[in-house]
Amino acid sequence: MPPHIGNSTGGCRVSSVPRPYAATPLTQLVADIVQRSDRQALQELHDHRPLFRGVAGVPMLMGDFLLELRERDITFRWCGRDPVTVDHAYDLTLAKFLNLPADGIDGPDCRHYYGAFYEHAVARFRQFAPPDLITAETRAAGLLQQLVTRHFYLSCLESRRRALKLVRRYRWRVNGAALVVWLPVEMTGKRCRNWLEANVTDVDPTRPGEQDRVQSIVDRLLARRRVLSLDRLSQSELRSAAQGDRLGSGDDIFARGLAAVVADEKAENLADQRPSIRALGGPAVKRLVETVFESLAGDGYRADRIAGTFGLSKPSFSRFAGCRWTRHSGASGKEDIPDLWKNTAHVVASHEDFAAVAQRAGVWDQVRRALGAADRQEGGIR
Amino acid sequence: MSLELFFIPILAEALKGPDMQQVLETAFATIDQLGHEDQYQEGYRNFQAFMAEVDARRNILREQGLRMAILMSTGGASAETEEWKTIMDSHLRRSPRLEAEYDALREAMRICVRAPVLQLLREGRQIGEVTFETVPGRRAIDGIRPGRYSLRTDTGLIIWEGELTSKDLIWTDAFGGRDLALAAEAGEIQHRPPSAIHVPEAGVILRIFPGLEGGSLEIELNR
Repeated sequence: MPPHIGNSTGGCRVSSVPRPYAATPLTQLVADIVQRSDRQALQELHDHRPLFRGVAGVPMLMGDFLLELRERDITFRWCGRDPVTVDHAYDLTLAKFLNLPADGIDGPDCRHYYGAFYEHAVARFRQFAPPDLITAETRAAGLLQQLVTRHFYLSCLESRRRALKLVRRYRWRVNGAALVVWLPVEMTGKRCRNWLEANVTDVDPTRPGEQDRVQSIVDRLLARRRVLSLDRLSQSELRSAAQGDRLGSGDDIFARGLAAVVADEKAENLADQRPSIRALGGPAVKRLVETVFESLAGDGYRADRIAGTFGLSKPSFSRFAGCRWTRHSGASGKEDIPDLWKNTAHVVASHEDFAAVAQRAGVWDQVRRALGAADRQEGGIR
Repeated sequence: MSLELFFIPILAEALKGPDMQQVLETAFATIDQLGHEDQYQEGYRNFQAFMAEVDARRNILREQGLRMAILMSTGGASAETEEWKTIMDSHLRRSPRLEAEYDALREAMRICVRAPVLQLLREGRQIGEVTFETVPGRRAIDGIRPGRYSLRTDTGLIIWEGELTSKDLIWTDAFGGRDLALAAEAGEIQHRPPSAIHVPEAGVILRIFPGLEGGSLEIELNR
C-alpha cells in the first residue's frame, strides 16, 4: 500500500446546482463558449473552475484572481495610483471574459478573448502534445491565466489613457455597421477615417471581436511610435518602425495648422469643457479658438473684446484662454495654465519633431533649470 | 500681439512650414532672444510653463507607450514578441522603475509547473486531496464509506464519478458475511485483488480496498 494521507475537510465545496459541463475539459468548454455562445459553459468556467493561482499558489476562480490582481502594487502604478482607474480596469477585464453581448449592445465580447486563448492553446498542444487529460488541463489553465493577466494590464493602460484623455472615441462606419475605436486625442475626426482605412484591412464590424482586433492594431502602432521615436535607436530600427507607423510624426497632424487642430479637439470634446464654454456649443467653441489664435497673430489682441463677442464673462474667458497665468509666490513653474493653452501644450506634445528640435535647442534643459530654481526658491522638492 | 503669449503665434507659424525642423529651431531661438527683453519677461515665464506642460505630457505618453511595449513583449512566442523584447531591453536599462515593473509583470505571467493535485468528493463535498510530487505515483485516501463519489482535478474538472457500495468498501459485505477470522485464515483477504477502476484518458487507476468500517481508495497516476 502507498503511504496514506489523512482525510481533509478543508475547502469543502458543496454544489446542488446541476453541472452539465463538470466533466468537460477547459479547451472544450472554451470552444463551446466561442462557437455556440454557450452561457452554461461560461457559467461553469466562472463558477466552478479554480483555474488560477495567485501569489500564495492557492487555486482561485477567475473573479477572485482578478480581485487579487487589483490589489497588487504594480496595478496601482499602472493606473497612476487612481482607485477609480483601478476599478475601471477590473470591471473592463471582467467584462472581457464574462460578456456574451446580446445583439445591439456595446461592450467587449468574451468570445473574442476566449477565441484567442483557444487558438493559442490548440497551437501549443499541437507543438507539445500533453500526455493525458490532467496535464492538458493544467497547461491550459496556465495559458488562460497568462492571457487574463495580460488583458488585465491592457485594461489598466486603457483605463489610464481614458482617464488622462489621451485618447478619443471614434465611431468608424464600415459597410453600414459601426465600430468604436479609441485613437490618439490629437488625431482629429477627419483624419481618423483615412488613417484607419490605410492601416486596417479586411474589416467586418459584424465579426465577433472585430472591435478588439482593430483596437489592438491601433495600440500596437501607437506603442511603436511612442517608444521608438522617443529614444535614440539605430537608424535601421527607426526605419522599420516608420514602416509600421503611419500615425504621423507631426507633419500629417499639423498640416492644417496648430489652431485648426486645437480648435477641432476642443469642439469635439465639448463634454470635458467648463460649463460656460460647453454652453457655447461645438461650432462656436471652434470659432472661439480660431479667433483667439488669429488675434494673437495679429497686432491687437483684445481678450475683453473676444470674450464679449462670444458672450463670455471675463473670468470665464480668463480661465479658458487668459494671458495672465496665475502664479503662486510669483515663482516660475507654478502657473495655473488656462485650459486652451494646456490643451495646446498637449497637442504639441504629440509632435515628434517639436520635441526633437526643442531638445536640440536646449529648451528642456532651460525649463528644468527654471523649475529647479523655482523649487529651490520655495524650498520644495520635485 | 500679446506680450504674455508672444510665443504662441511664433510656434503656430513654425508648425505650419514644410521645412518644419529648421523653422522650429529659428522659432525657439527667437523666443529665447525675446525672452531676455524686459517686456517679454512674463511671456517667457509663460513659455517655460507651457513647455513644462509639454514635457509632462510627453513623459506620460512615453510611459504609456513603454508599458504597452512591455505588454507586447510578454505576448507569447512570436517573431513580433521577440522584436519587442529587443526594443524593450534598451529602454528598460535606462529606467529602473519600469524595469522593476517589467520584472513584476513577467513574474506574474510566468506559468508555474504545478504538481498534479486530485480531490475526492463524496456527495459533492470534498473529503480528501492528494498531491503527486512525482508521476507515476500512488496515493491513498482512507475512511471511504458507501456513497456517490467523484474525483476532480484542483482546477475543477471532474475526471471520474461513480457509486461505491458497502460491497466495495466493508469487509463483511465484501466477503459475503463470512467470519473475518476465517477469511483471513484462508488467505482470502490478502490474496483477493482489489476492485479497480480505470480512467485511461486521465492516466488514472482507482483501487478500492475494503476495511472493517470503511475502505481505502488508492489513486494511481501514470503518464
